[in-house]
Amino acid sequence: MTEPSPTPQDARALLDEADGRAATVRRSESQLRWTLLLVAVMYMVTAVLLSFNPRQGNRLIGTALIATFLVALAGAIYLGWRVKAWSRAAVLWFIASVAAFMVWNAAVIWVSVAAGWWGPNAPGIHFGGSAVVAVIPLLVATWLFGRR
Amino acid sequence: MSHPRHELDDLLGHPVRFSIAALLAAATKAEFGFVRDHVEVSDSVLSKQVSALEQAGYVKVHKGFVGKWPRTWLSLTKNGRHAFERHLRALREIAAADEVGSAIRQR
Repeated sequence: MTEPSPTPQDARALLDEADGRAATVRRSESQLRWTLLLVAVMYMVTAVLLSFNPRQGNRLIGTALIATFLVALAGAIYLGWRVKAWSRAAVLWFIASVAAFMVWNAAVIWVSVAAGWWGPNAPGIHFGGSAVVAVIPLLVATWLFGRR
Repeated sequence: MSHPRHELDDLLGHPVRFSIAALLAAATKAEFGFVRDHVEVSDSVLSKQVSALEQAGYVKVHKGFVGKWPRTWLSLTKNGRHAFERHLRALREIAAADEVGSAIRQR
């Protein structure tokens, strides 16, 4: 009795299917990029609110800040819940993106303070200006994640 | 030289098991429902095929909770990954053999 063997056409179809399945997993894990975008948006909203926060503080802005954090937290949990398949490479990519943002953000803060851009008499809008520069790694990572 | 079909894995010759392995090969972990929806089979069919792969030591089943909702995750074991790669290699050789044959026939 001969051993059954797929025809070359069957073999090619199976190889195509394997490629298609891998693409399905990549699509699922690319949901992680929306979490990066969410962090960037949260950071920008916080920056805008603090830019308009008067020196003596403001209850409305304080409440808006707390609401921003809570919405971002709920959004991150929801987005994480939507990722149903993931590879170690995607998770490492995600962690590296967040780490790059934290290092870059720390550098932006340090330069802003050292250069006097942030100071006791500097207008609040300077904070927003620094935040725009600080979120660049997150926006780049979001774009690159979508192209993986 | 032996025919590449001898390198094919019997267990992965089954279409549903091949689809499951192909999906899991690209992932570190995949949720049971995700695999079921993409392989387009029922819960019971997927359970049966996953059990066969699990018994062969190709798939690991992880049960856990996300909040209070139970979740089942599937992953390929190291053995399963090797078996799937070997199976794909054999398929590539079978497909390539035909391309070589067509090139010779065209001359």
